Amino acid sequence: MTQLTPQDIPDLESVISTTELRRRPSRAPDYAAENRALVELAQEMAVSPNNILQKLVETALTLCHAHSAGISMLDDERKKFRWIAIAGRWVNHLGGGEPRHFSPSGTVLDRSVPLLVSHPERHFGYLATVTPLVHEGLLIPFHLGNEAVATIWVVAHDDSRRFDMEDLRLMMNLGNLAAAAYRTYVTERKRMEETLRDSEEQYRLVVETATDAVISIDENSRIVFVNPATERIFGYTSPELLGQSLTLLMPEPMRPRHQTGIRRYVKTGERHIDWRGAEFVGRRKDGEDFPIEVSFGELASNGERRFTGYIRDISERKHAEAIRAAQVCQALVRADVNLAFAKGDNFRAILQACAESVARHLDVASALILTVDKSQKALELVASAGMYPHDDGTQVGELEVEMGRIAVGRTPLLVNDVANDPRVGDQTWARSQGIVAFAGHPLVVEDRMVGVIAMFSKSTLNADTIALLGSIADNIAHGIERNRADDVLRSTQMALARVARFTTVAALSASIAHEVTQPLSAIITNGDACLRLLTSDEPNLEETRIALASMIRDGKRASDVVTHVRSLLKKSAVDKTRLDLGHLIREVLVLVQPELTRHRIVLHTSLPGDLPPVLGDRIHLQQVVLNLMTNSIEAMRDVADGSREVTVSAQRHEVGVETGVRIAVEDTGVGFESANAERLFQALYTTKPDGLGMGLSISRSIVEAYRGRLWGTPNARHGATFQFILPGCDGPPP
Amino acid sequence: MSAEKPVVFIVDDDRSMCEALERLLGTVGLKAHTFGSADEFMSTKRPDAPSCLVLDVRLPGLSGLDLQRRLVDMDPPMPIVIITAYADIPMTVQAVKAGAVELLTKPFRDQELLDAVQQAIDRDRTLRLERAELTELRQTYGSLTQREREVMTLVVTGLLNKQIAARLGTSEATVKAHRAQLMQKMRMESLAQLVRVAGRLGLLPPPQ
Repeated sequence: MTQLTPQDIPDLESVISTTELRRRPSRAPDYAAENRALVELAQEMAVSPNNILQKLVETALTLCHAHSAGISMLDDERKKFRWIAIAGRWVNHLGGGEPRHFSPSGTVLDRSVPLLVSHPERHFGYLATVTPLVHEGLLIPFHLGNEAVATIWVVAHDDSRRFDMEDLRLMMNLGNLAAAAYRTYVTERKRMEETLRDSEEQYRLVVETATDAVISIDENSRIVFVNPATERIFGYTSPELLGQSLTLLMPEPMRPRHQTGIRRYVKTGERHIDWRGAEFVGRRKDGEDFPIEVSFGELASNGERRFTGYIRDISERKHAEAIRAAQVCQALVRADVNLAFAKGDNFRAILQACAESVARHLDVASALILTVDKSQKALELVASAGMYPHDDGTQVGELEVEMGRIAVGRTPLLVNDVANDPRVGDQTWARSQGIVAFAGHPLVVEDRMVGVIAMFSKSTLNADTIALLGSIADNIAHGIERNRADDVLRSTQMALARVARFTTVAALSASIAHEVTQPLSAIITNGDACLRLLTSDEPNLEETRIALASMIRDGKRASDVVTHVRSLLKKSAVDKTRLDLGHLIREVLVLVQPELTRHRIVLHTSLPGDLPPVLGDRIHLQQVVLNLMTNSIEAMRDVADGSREVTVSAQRHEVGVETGVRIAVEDTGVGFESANAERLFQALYTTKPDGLGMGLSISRSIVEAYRGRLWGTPNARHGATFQFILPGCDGPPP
Repeated sequence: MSAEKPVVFIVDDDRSMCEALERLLGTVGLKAHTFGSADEFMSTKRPDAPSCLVLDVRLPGLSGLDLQRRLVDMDPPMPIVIITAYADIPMTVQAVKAGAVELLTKPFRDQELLDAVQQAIDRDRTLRLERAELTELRQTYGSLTQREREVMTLVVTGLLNKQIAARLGTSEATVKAHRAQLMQKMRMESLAQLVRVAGRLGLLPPPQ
């Protein structure tokens, strides 16, 4: 386009061609169309007043068959017209404008008449940039009150349309309507602005009082708004946050990801994460990391892109979830533990099942259970699941430092840096296996330290794990305890299985004794009462009868207990294996050796290596030998030092058809009267001051269950000999 | 003071044992109340009569020894006869230390139990009697005037009327009158009797 110099500019009048209108032939009015359009306009005014000006210009466009139509409205300062509504080909110039003092609309207002202009850009040069160019424009003034404040216009961009008087008439009509339309429009805008302000106020209220943090950031991730909850949740004050990068509220590892992610999104609109309810980790001012749930949305505001996020502190929910998960774990382990105890396997098998359950449900590298050995000085590994450097059954001696610490201190231990923590023993192993954490908890049964349950993990553990482990330890301890006390069946089996405990029979007997003593005491007391009732001056026979009935009932009760125990022993004798009794006895001797030493008893043995094998349960038969040894030791307690001797011998036994092995335990103790020989084996008979009279009874039951015999004889000089014969399993069937 | 007949409380979780004991005590004319647990016993109102408790150590819920510990705090503490199916030395020591009159191992001889119960009831009766007397004494002492109490406190320390008068800044005759008054009120016949009573009321200075 050629730059025009001032003297080349055609004068104003040369672009005004209003007089042309009258010269042009006028088309015939289409009243029907006009009426229709006006009715529609009126309806629009009622229905959507916000849109009325646009509707008005569209109507002008249609009725005048124009190429473009619009409204030029003076701004508040009366210096500029703004094109507040445009229809037709100029629609993309909406929002543009023209100066008040130098424009076609300005001229219309100055002269207060309609104008027809032709190529006005010839005079008003700036219009040359507004394309397509105005070939012809018809403008009429627009009054609000007594003041002309706007024009309404139609434009033809080429000569295919030439405006005439009919167009002027239509435009004048529309001009009259325009004032009413504008007032409606303004009222509506005002109302909408108020509504908007109201809703903004509501939004502000919601945001201010929200319990979730609401944070807005700009395209560069700078924080531009935070609500009070943000301050509360993250611990920063609002001034500390405004202008800072959002990454301030994230742990370091997340920061680069966020930066990259938001840059990509701003550029491409592509999200690398779901922004609705995504879970992240937030960082508080004090450095604490905590789980958060984030929903982010985008909002353009004054042409700037804003991202507003709702951030919820879900630590409590996470904590609750963790607790629930732990409860589930705990329930699963508890179920396994209960099942293991219910199956009534031997102690090791039960603990092994427990360890496996812990390793499986807690998802740790290994789970171990160690028990205090009989010397009470070392821990022995009795069960392990997962990886561990020691094989099951390894004598661990003083064991690892950490286990010992737990056992001695009776306190749980949690180590999260195993490779560098001096409290952990096998650091080389831990390092090579990628173990990072260790947790252990004491196993305490009835205030007695029985062992340690522990685990190694490849991920860090926390206090919750300790709590969980503690509850599992309780379960196991409870299982052990219940097993012993709950019913005689399991208690018998469990107690028999616990060969390692020297006082097994005594402990078992104590429990049975209580069961039996109760009815016996009642019987005796009732008996005493009966004697008194009968010997009084006026014998009360009815009361005596009731007492006697009660005695019979209690007698049966006592007898039932004993029968029950015996039958259990018989029932449990199904697991028969071929046993080398010599080997079995040597194992027991290892167990009793400390006791022999303590009582300064000399031990003699005669255990040939070529004994025929016998059928039986190793633990049951060890229990018998253990019991005989215990009896001997106790029988010699009150004998002078120097003459305490016990001889344990085994020999091939062949008398007639009876073949097998004969075991004898001979002592130099107090012995017994030969007249009492059989009574010794009755339940509850005892010669010992603190004896309970169950040991020999149980022992005989066991031996008889394997088709053997057990008897005792007083020695010629002092002491007694107890012996038992078990049939050999390679001989002829008994 | 209670003139009621003595009562024996029995706490044992074994029903048969409770009944048998009640029956046995009945043969010597002792009334018994039986309870299956320590909690049951604790939650029952007990009559105001000389009594004792026959207690099994092994009980469901609150153990016998725990119950004993609580009963020690009673005024006067109820004497207890412990019965147990399985007594070991620590348990015996604990029970006796906590004031058990007797610890009997089940099964026990009837006479042992009856003797222990009788002894416990006698002890309770004495304690209750002493407590009642003391209560009465305190009431009587409370009825003395301030000056009479002062005179009494000085009299029982062995001061003569003259010395007391000097100490209180009054005349010997006045002291004499107070003294006669308080002896009458306290229903005392001799100085020796008054000194004994003063001792029980805790009025005597601690022995040198």
